[in-house]
Amino acid sequence: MKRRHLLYLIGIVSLGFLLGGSLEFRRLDDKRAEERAARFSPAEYARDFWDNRLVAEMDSPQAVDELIRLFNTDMKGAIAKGRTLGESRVHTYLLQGTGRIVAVDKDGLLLSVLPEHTDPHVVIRTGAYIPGNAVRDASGLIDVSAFSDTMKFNRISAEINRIVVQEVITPFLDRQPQVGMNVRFIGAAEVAEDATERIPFGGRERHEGSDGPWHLLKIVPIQLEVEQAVAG
Amino acid sequence: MANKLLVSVVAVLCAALLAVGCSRKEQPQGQKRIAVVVSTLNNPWFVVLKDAAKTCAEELGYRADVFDSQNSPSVEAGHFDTIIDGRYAAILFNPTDAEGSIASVKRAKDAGIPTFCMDREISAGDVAVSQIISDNFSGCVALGEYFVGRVGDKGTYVELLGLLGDNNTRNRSDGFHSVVDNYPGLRMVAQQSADFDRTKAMEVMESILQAHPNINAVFCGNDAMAMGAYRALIAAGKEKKVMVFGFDGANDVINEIRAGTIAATGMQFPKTMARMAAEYADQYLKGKKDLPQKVPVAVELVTAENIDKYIAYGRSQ
Amino acid sequence: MLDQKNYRMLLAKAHSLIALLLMVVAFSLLADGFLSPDNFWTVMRQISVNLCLSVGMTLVILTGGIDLSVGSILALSGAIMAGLLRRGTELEVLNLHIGYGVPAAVAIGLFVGASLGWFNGLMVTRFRVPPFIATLAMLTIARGLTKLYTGGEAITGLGEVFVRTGSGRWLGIPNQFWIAAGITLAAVVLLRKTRLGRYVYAVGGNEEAAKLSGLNVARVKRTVYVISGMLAAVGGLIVTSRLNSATPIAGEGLELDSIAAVVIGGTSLSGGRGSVLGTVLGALIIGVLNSGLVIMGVDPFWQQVIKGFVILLAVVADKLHSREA
Repeated sequence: MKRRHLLYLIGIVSLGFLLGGSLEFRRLDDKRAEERAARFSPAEYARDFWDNRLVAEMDSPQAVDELIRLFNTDMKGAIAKGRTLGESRVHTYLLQGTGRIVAVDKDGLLLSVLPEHTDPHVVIRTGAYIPGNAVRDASGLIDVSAFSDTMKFNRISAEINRIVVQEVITPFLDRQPQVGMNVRFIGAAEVAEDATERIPFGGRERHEGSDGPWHLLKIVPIQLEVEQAVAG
Repeated sequence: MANKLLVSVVAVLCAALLAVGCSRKEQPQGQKRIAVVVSTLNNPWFVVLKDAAKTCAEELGYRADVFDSQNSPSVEAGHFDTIIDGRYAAILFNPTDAEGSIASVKRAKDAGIPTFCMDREISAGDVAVSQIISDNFSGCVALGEYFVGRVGDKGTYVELLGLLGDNNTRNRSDGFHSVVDNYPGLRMVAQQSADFDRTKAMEVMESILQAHPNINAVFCGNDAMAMGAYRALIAAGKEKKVMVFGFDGANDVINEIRAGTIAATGMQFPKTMARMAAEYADQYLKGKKDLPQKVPVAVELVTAENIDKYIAYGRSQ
Repeated sequence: MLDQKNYRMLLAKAHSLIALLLMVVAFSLLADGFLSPDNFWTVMRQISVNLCLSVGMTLVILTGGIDLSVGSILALSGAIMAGLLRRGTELEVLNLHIGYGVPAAVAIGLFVGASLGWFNGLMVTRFRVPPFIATLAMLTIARGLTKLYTGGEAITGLGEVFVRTGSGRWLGIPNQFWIAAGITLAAVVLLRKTRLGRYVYAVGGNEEAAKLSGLNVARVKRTVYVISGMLAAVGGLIVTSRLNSATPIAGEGLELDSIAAVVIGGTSLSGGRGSVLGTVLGALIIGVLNSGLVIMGVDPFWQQVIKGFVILLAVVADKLHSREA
């Protein structure tokens, strides 16, 4: 009986193998090459976005000092000027401006951008790592609905942030920015609606040398250059 | 005797069914029905989502029936059969699996029934009319930043994962690590699954504490596990030394944050998502067809500093 | 003697049949749209997976055993079918990639199911592990293997042919119903007309007597576990092709549904007494109950309570009746 059952099983399996020449043999290398070509690459997507699509937006950023003024006078109006992803109380802005470096630490520059050089200053993120989705969302160029899997959308953001670190922040830091230097920037910022009371997602406590008012804007730089090196 | 018993028992059962049937509100004729399909009701979070979806649909003038998929894509597929047969007008859908649920939604679409996803997504761009999804990844990025701010850039921590194979487990963990892994001084000494379950989290945490008594923090993929881990820390007398981070915004964790014991959680908005899905369904049925395919709903960081603004599962105002 | 046995089984079936009919009548009155051709086929589709598992479970329970691992075996064999179809096998050394067509993938999946069942049987017979423990262990092992194999994620995009296997129709009738019906029929024939069928009853009725009369009890037991494992793999085929994806959590809790179907169908948990047709009635009762309660819009929490009571009732009725006999 036992042998008979074993025979049944072997019969079924071999039948399976016979049916329709069900197996297909290929070189593994070919298969892998094909897969690589078909796979979605967030790095490549981010590259294309950075090189080709983002530049087109570079003539439209808002002036940072005007936005700050608007936030102080007309919160709703300021919010309306930003972009919002889905249902959220975080709004993103594409900004440009110039300012003088007030402080430098490992996570960012404190920049005075208002003509009178008073608070609120802004922070330009120059850390070794950029969190968040500021660049992706502020540009408004990448639509979440275009991605069947939202994780792809998230990975693109991480890749864009990596490009920022490698191609904007690192070269800038090589110029050894000092307090007192003037810089010109284009960048993206996320502002939470609760920001008037408190920045919800940490940050202030960690930023040394900034016991003044909180920093409304933490800007992820897209272009960042030293305008002139003036002491003091 | 057995026959008599059986007959009487069946009679009682029928009577009970009749009673249940009659006790239901009489529905006006021709009222449209909306199906609320929820992945599981074993977790209070999903009960909140379900209740909100049902209430909103009823407020909009529909009759709403609830289907519990018990975390199984095949039970869910069965529910979709019933829904299609029953000619429901729309489906408010919390999928069990990003891939496994696609086939069901597609069948509903082919039968002319629109589906609106809540909280979890399906990995297909053109079968559901709209997907209102919780932005788990970005929420955990924020949580990760706060984690680094509180723990510092040196220390050891433990991660408790949710159900393996669940998309949210992965998205939350990925989001958290996309931040924390940038700090080489922060070392994860253990990463274990506790299935989103409070009791299991407590047990797993107890074992981990045997091997790693001197950790600085524990990050949990949901609040139930955060509560379990916190219990284990209390039992070991370490609740003051180890910071606990959760995710969801559940009642007891909100209370703990208010009491200053648990460090932070990511607030999801089940009621907001359910309401949006119900409203989208209503608009769609009334002829508005250009609804966005995906609407991420932001997850907000809740800490001792901003706890006043939050209640369980939402904002206080 | 034989007459009395037949009479008793008839009575047990009559119980279930009456209950089923009453339920259908009650739901037809209460649940709008319950009594429709569409819903009939929906119920049939819904019970087909449970039926596959329950038929195997009936054989195992008839021998006095139990198989808690069916849900996990379903998941693993489904995942293997999906994995073979989607990823194939990579032989690094030979620089060779093997792609699988549907027949090969399905055959290997079924073979895996049967093998795990065989392992269950081996533990029970050779190492005298109680069936409850042996299959409980397999429940965990196979679930863990499934998660390892899938990497915790769904394997998806399995191709039109495979999807049609489980969710297509033939002669207007859903394929999964054909499969389940075929299996049921085969099991009825097996139990009624073959020597193995008589042995199954003999082993469950009185194992010592069967042993003394020269029956190879161990072989019979191993066979029923192999069948149960393989039928679980058939369930895996249906579920996976229906969803066009294999999920690592597929089939969780299905072992309980199938035990419920067997018990409601009047098969005694102590073995030796019961029938496949009873199990079919049991599966139908669960299916009708599920469908009816859902269509009526009964609160899901209440549904669970009601289902639990139905199982209790079935067993109570069965107990009273066997005491009487």
